[in-house]
Amino acid sequence: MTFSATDAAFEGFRLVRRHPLTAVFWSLGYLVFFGLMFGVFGSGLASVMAATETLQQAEPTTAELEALSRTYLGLFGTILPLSLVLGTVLNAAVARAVVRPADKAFGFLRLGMDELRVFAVSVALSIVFVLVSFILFAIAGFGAGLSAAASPGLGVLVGVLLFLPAVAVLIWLAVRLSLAVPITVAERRIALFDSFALTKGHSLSLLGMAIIAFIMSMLVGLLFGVVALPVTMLTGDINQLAALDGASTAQILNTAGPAIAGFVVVNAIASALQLAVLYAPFASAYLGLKGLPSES
Amino acid sequence: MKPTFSIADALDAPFRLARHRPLTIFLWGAIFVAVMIGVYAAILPIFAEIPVGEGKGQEAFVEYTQQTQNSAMWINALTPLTWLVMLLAWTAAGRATLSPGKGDPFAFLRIGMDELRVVVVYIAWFMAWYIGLIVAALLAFAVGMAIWFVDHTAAIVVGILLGPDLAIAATWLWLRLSLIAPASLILKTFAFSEGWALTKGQAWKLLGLNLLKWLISIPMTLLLYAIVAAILAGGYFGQGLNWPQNVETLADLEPVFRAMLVPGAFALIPIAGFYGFYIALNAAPSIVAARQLLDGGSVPPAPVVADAGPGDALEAL
Repeated sequence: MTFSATDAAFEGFRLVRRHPLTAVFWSLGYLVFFGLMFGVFGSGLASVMAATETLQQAEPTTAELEALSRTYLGLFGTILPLSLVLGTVLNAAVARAVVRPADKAFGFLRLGMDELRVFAVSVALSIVFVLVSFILFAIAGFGAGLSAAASPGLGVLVGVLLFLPAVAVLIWLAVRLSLAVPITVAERRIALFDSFALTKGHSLSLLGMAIIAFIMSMLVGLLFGVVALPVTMLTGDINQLAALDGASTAQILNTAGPAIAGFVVVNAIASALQLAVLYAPFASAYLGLKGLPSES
Repeated sequence: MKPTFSIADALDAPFRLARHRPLTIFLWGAIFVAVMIGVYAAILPIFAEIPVGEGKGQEAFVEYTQQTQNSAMWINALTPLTWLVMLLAWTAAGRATLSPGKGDPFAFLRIGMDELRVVVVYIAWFMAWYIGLIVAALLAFAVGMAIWFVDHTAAIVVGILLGPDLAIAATWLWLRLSLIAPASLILKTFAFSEGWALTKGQAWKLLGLNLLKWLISIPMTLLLYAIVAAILAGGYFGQGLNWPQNVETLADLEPVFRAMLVPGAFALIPIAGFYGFYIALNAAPSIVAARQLLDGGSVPPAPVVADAGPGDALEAL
């Protein structure tokens, strides 16, 4: 079976056109996420923004960099579990919307076995990528180090010659495993490496599709930035948070409430559309490669 | 016989547009200029307190950096807005080139799938070109380093030899990718493979075409500068204006700016005309080249646009 990469790349737009309510539900998901982020971690965000602004104005010292790293780690350590749950639910929803279009209640959002399987597959894929990256870059580093013992220049050459193929291998692996989530949702089972067999001989098409989808997702974000400009003008820039470093979350919400609300609403809608544009093509490619009919 | 295209036809295309659709071209430029003015009008007051004059470079730089950070929102909006207008105008120019003899009430401007395909192709083109360039530069650097530690002179010789090769390869890649966007507009699909195949064996002609476009743009730019300078100088001296004494900040120049508003508005007319033609000069030749290569020879461009209206509301054809 085969599929049209350029046709599949537009699946996100088609999906939102067929089921406009999905965009509303997914935006609500992001709205809750961003709302919680600002409501619960508002002071932490203000500290991060203030620290980043300080570092941009002058050459940072090691102590300043360490402090920023600690703030970042603390903040994202708490946000990460929440974003993992949201990512899993939305990722599964996008795949479901394409491969099981009849399950359209609640904008295809669920919290069930599909989501658990998608979570397991996502975590397993992340581990695979970390391990493969570690092995490939370790080989590149080891090769470069050994060669550098003979001649530093040779070390650079060997390092570059090993680094570039390592990056190529990682991209190839990402493409070959890119259908794992759609397969998992469509076939209601954990399908970690089934994607390998399905994508055989289609790597370049899938890579092209992914690049087009990535660019279109980026454009959606950019366009929203422009469209949202009047909102940002009215409510103020979110960067004003940097000036509220040290203030409590209540004080931050009191002072920068409209700016935060504007930011949250605009970004929730943009993120939902970007999600559809970026992920739906892979589910469409799965249908195409399996020879299954898609919803038109 | 290998398909080819006529450089003369391609270069004539923007002039043909200017002859047959002067108002349409002016409108593209006017929209571009209007957006630029809108954004700069929002940004300029922010920089009113920047100190001017001799010996104030450091102070001005600090103030400028501070204001730039405070107004990041506006400055960040400038680039995507410029790109958006350029995209709409480029696609309109392409559509107009492909529709000789047809009119259009919207000056061929649309927001649709053509625009989406063209912008995706352009971004992919830049990405492919930059990634290719980075990989090539990285390899050249690594080879240079490897040789440097063996023999400095040999490394310099290799560097001298590799540098121009890299520039040639970058130019060749740029030219090979250059007809993907026109082909996508003509074929109404993402024509990555078609656009790449079209340029096979056409690199020299495309290089010549692009050099000629660049050469044409130089006297035009100089002429624009001369006209705008003449209008502004005429406005300044004609009104008997004097440069204010003790100018500390840009805000102190406000009386001059106010008095120059009318001459400035007049200067916008040639500027809009120039930008409109500049957009046509960028788009039309490559559209004609792609059309002729797709048609298999040097033939007049065939109309393919089905959505153009029967009459041009802007001017008689």
